[in-house]
Amino acid sequence: MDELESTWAAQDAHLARASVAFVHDELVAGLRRRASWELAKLLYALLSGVVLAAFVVWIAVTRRSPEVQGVWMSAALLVPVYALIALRVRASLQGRAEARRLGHTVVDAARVSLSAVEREERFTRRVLWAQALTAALLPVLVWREATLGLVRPGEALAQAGLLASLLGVAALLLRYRLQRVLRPRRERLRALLGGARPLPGDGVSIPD
Amino acid sequence: MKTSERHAAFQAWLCAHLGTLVKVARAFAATDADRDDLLQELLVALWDAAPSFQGQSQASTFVYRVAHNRALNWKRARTRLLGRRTLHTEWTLLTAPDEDAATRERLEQLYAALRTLEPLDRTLMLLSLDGLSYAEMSEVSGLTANHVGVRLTRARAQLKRVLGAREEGHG
Repeated sequence: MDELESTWAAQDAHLARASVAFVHDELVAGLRRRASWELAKLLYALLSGVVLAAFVVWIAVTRRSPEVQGVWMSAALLVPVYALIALRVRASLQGRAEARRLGHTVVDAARVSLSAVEREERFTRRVLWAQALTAALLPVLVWREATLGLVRPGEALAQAGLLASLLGVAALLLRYRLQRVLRPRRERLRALLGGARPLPGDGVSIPD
Repeated sequence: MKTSERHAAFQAWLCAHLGTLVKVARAFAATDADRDDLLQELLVALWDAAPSFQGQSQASTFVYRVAHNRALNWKRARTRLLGRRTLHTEWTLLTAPDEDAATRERLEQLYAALRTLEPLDRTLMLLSLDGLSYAEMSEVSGLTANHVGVRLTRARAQLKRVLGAREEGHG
């Protein structure tokens, strides 16, 4: 046993004693509470979806005529709603998929995680583009609806304001996730897999 | 896996491998607060991953894989906040070692040196210090045994260099 190993082994006696004293039941209760909390968050997202869908219906019924513009206005609202709900549901599904990956080898788990992060980045960018398009069309839609007399100017303005705020909040959340969560994570995983490449002179390859 | 089986498996893993999780937390997190957070994350990860354990590999290999995978991805405020809110237990029992002062200092230096290694090398070095064979390390990491050997030789040399430099610095 060399010096490194003997230093390392010095902690084992303490850890064995501490492990015996560690409160297992309390920990399991905490983990169960956490699982319930995850479920509650998913239910909350779905409930928010129902409330927002009701809001979309309200937008539609305030139009006095079933013209195309009213339908477009309602459909446009679905973009931020979709973004917010999809984020929560995706996060929940990804959490479960990631939990399954934890049992894989380090290299396999990193590879799958990297492709999942890259997929999510592409998805987030597409939603941001859809939001930008909606925001660009919004003034035209409102002006056209008001011109055609499909909605009272006050209502159109209030609804457009609400839609703009929803778009803004959703865009900020997506942008934050993209910049502060997904990008650093992608870099970390790439660095990890970069380190998993065979070293010069190794003469072996990593199995796929 | 039924809830009762998950519960039983988790308890058994905890009894046998809690020390491993503590070592991983110390090797990947520098401060006490981070160490507590990471340890909680590792325990949460083990709980979450328990249903995916098929019994095809040894339980110890599974625990090592889960712990190292989560430690390598550790930097997610979401789970840490959640962990802080929902798990209350005696972390200090595990994270405040009662070794004597000289041993504690040597261990702290070893952990500090481990944290200077690249993440994958750190993982291999931890597995090596825990006495795993190249084949077992290969099973945990997904690298070939040859690749493990090459990386480990270089990691060990770097570790000794860092420890030597620290000792010279103290001397």
